[in-house]
Amino acid sequence: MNHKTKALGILFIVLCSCTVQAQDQTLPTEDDYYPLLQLPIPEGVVLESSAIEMMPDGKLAVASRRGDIYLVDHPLAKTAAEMEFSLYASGLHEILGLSFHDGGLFTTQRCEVTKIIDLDKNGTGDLFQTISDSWEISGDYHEYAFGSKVDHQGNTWVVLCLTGSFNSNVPYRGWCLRIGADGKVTPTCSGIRSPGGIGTDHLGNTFYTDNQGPWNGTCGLKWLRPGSFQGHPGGNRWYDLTAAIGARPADPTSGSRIMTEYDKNPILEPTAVLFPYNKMGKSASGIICDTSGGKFGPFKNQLFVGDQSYSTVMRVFLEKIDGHYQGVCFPFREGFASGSLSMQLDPSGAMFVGGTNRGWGSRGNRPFALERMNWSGNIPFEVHEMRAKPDGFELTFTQPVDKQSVEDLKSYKISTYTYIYQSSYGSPEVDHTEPSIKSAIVSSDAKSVHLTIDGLQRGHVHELHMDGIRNSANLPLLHKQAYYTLNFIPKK
Amino acid sequence: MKITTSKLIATCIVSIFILPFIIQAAEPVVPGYERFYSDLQRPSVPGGLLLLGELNCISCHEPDAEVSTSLHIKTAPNLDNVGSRVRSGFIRDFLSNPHQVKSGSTMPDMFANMEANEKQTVIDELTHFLASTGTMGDSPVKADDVNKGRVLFNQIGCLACHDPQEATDGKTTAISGSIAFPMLSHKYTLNSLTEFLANPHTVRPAGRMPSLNLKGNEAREVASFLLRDLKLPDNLTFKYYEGNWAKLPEFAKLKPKLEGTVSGFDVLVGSKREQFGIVFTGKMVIQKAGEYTIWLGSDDGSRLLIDGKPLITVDEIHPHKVVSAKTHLTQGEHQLVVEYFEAGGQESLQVEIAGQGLNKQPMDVVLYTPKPEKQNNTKLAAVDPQKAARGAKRFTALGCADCHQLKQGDQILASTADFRTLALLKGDGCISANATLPNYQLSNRQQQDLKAAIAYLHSEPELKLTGSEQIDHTFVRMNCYTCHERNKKGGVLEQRQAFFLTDQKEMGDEARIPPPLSDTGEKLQPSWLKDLLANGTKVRPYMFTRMPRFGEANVAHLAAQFTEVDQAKPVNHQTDAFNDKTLKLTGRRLVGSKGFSCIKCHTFGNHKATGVQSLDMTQMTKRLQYDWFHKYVQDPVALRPLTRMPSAWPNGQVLLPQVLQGSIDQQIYSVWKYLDDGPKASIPQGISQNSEELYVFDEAVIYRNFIEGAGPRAIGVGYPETANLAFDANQMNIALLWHGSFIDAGKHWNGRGQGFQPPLGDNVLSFQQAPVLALLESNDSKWPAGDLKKQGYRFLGYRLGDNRKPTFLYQLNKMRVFDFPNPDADGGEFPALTRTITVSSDTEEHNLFIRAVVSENSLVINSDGTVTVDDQWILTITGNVEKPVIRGKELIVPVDLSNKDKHHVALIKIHYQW
Repeated sequence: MNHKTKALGILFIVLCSCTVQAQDQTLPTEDDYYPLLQLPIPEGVVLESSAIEMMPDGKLAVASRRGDIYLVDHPLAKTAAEMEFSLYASGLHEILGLSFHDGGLFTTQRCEVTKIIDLDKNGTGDLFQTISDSWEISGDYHEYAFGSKVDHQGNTWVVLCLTGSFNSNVPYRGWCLRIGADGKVTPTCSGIRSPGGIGTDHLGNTFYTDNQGPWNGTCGLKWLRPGSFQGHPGGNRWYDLTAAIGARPADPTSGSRIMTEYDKNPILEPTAVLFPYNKMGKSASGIICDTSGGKFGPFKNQLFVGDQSYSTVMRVFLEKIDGHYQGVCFPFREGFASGSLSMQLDPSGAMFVGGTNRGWGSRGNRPFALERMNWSGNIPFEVHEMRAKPDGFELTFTQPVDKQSVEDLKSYKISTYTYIYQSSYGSPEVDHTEPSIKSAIVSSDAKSVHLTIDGLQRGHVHELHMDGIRNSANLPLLHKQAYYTLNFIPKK
Repeated sequence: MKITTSKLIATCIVSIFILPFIIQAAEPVVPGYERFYSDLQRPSVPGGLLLLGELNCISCHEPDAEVSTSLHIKTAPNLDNVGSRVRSGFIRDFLSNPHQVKSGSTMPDMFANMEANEKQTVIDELTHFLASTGTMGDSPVKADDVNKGRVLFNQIGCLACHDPQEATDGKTTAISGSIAFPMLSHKYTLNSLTEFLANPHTVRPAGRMPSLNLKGNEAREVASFLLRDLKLPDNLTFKYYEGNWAKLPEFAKLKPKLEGTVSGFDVLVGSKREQFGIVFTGKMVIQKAGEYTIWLGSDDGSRLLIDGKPLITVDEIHPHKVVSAKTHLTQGEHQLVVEYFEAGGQESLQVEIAGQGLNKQPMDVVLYTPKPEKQNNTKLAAVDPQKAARGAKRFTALGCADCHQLKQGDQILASTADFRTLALLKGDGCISANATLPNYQLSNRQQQDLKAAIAYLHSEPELKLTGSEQIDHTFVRMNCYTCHERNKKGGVLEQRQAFFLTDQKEMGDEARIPPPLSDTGEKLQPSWLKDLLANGTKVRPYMFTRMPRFGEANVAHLAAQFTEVDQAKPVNHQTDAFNDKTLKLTGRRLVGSKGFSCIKCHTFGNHKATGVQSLDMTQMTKRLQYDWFHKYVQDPVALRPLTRMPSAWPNGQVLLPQVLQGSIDQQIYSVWKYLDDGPKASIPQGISQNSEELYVFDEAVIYRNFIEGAGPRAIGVGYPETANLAFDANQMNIALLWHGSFIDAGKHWNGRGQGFQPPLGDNVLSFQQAPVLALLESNDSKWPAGDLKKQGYRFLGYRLGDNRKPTFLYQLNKMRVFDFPNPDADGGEFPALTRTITVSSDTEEHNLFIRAVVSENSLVINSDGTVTVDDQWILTITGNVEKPVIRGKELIVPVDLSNKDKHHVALIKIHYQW
């Protein structure tokens, strides 16, 4: 090597490091796309926001674990100063569901579904009509009841946590019940452990989140397919009380795998999306679907799921394979002030996130919070959708990509694993494999890539890191990792 | 020469070994004697009488009938199964020279003037005999237990009678009157000392060694501390591995990092405390074939194999978890393997066995242990049955059986020895200067006192003691005076002051020194006194020393004596100017933060005080007599000069003149009446750490949650009129009514909110959890109960009306019910409540009843139609009802659903005045 080339080489290195440094400082963050606004909870009010609903008059109803319901006037205002809080109802029992329907606020509290009506229209509820108290409570704090929005048939879907989150001491703990507006009860699924939220997709399918524990190796998003068994056999004794979903299935074998047990009896609905523990979060909570038609950004019809422990909102894309929903989760937004629990999306594209960390700690260190997240109008560079293919995955992006980086196999790292399906608490990641990516072909419009993969694993989470991918503006992905739960490999 | 040298060395070693014990006095030590009689002008008759009992003289020298009632003997240790408790080497050494092996022993040398050969033979035979009564096995002492035991030994009261066992500043303290220990590891195994400390009276019924009421593992911990020098040979081999596992790996395929031998299942043999595994291997030696139970407990996973076959598995990651299994074991040797792994956090491994005569104890007891290289030459290799049989005869012939109980089968061995009766004693035998047998090594003063006492008994066989003297004698005998002062006698010695500890130093000496007992009979309730003498107690949370259990046979008589001797003049206090509910309500306010703030220093049941943690208020009336309480709270320092307790009525001043007409008597009595509800009393205001009191102003406040007495679907309502209720939505009835404060939401609004919350107010009236309305087929049909949803009932919610007061809505078959409770306005502190129940039906119903109340005791229908319930409160029922009927304890009222414009409506009012 002569002196000249050596000098050039040094110059090149210096230039490169300058470029990287400059890029680091200017890399966009989540704040640039989805800024947060704190709603001004009045001093002295403890609003452990546990359920949220938009009222027909444009006020936001926010319920608390202490049993109050507040109304927020002007919740869509530009600044917090324009918002006003007023008390609508109080003295209810740990509210975990609010839905306005048929002139009343359908409120799911620990003991019942209640329709609250403001008879004299003075801004406070007067009639607290018990729609149904058809499940039992024994005085155990863990016996929570999460209620959905009222569906198009007038049903509130209620998921009932187990006693102490382990047993089913009284009727219907560990079940999902559908409660009609007239109080008619339809037992819908068994197998529930400890829910953290319930929500509906754009097609009307209802999902809930269940948390790591017995028969749940990690937290997950589950599809409440009517008649299905959701995995925890603790509540199966109540098949004796109802013929609504057939006979009691045999208990699963502890120490098995979910898909092994599914193959034995397809009444078991495999977890649609697993949230790998300590990677995506520790305590999955509320669910909301982006039905704003683009007002919340590019993720139309995708689901957003909270994590109470990590104070985050995650993003989920689902597809239906072999009659079952499965899909992928991505990090979406972190830094909420308390433990994210309740979620609501306004048609205008404003997402409200309520938080609490009483009894269960969270990264956000405020004891309670109510925040609004809006889309700034800038499109983040993200994986838009990730679909399973017979030979690999197809990923679409929110922006045109840099073909070279996306076709470079060194831009990716993929591994797979699953969890033990067992009666003891949780599970480590097990059965690790490392498939190889054979090729990455970018589409002609430069907005998707087809990954051909050798060694897809049925029933495994496929953890994909895409650190090397760049968009046409040479920006990396805002979130570089994806976790796809591949219960079923599509045949075509 | 060589032989002589080694003998010489051996002698030196023995001397060094024994030296510490012979420095101290060889004479028998009786603590009460040392403290109260050793300095007196000689001779002392009372001192001699004390020794006569404590040295057990009259067990051999039978006294006349009158004398025997005057003397209290200290029963000698019970030797049933002594072979399972005391090592044979110790038995031999102790019999050979009791005063050297245990300094201050009250056991005499029984063989002092025998020929050396004869003495050796006799002791050998007795040792074989005593050792033949049981078997024992060693288990190792754990460092963790030693440390915990050290803390207990030094804190809970052992040092009131014993000396500290470890030198501080290089000095060991020997305090006069202390009971010295022999070398305990030479005497006991860990199991036998643990058992002794847990139940000392089984072996020593005399109670001089009291039970400290050791709980859980405490006895083993104290025993471990006392046996901390016990070194056992290794009984296991181990292989130590490192790795991160979630369940037991296949150790056979791994390479150990370390191998070796160890005593006991010690999981810390390697260098790591996380992410390691160990395989222990040992040899079980089973003496008796049969079924055994084996326990395996670990954190994290473990597996136990016997002869290669897995017996117990406690695999995977978990906190300490124990699993047991039964198995049949043949006589002889079995290979034992225990695999263990630890992932993170705490680590533990415990292997235990029981069966075929073995009590549950560490597995070590059956593990083969190689013989230590240097054998203790006094220990028996094996019991020789012939020697044992001869030893049994010696035991009865030599007089051992006069003092010591020893059962063979069901038979207590009876003494065949013949001794002079007490009346014939001349003072020329065992208490003479040239003591013959048995030799107590009595000091001069002890000899003089004993002689004086015997002479005294010859002339005055019946001792006439006053009650006060009797208490004093018991205190001296049982060494109560080492902790307690009574009538200016006794109390903690200066040299022991430092051993009495507290964690609440700001309370002063009262927190660490046991209370004086001069006024015990006046102060304590006889029932409490009886209970604490029988069982010991620990009512002072701040005091580390425990009041031990001395055994009912030894101290129960004190209860009556205290009550008789310490009687105070009865006092007439004014107690009748107010009714009970006013008194209780006022007492609660006085105790709470808006009154005298007793809660600052006194706990209340499980509720901690806000400052120092002093005696539990819910126990006060159970413990104390009212007259004493009355006197004490007015001027605590007069009765307890050391106390920091202030007076709420300093120098007779009334600080709250508006309360109960400013009467001191009434104010004190109100506190007493309130506390007299014990743990059932509503908690005083201001004591709850996480209080979230819900205040009621001009509108009703609703609180739906788990309410104690109203079920998990309770709806609490606090009314502006200071009456409150809890409606049970499962039973569709009012479950509780109360006055005053509404409720504290703190339990449910802090943490995860587990548990049921009782009302915060006063004067709580509770109703049976069952519906108020029912359709009965006939007058004597059973009232519905249980799950009402299956019986035609449905809860429909409530509607808020004026001042947001709720009307509860429910349904029985097709009848709609509107249930509106409303407290009477201007009802003062205890307003009544009117409940208006409206029933509306499309059809005619003839069988509708109201059950207004189920009484606890009595129901009386008064001439004006009102009903007095339990002599405590009054209920009135009016409206569309017929005459009430008393049905046992139920008040049943038929409802008249008359026809009104095709619609059937009934309106009923129930008025509660409680």
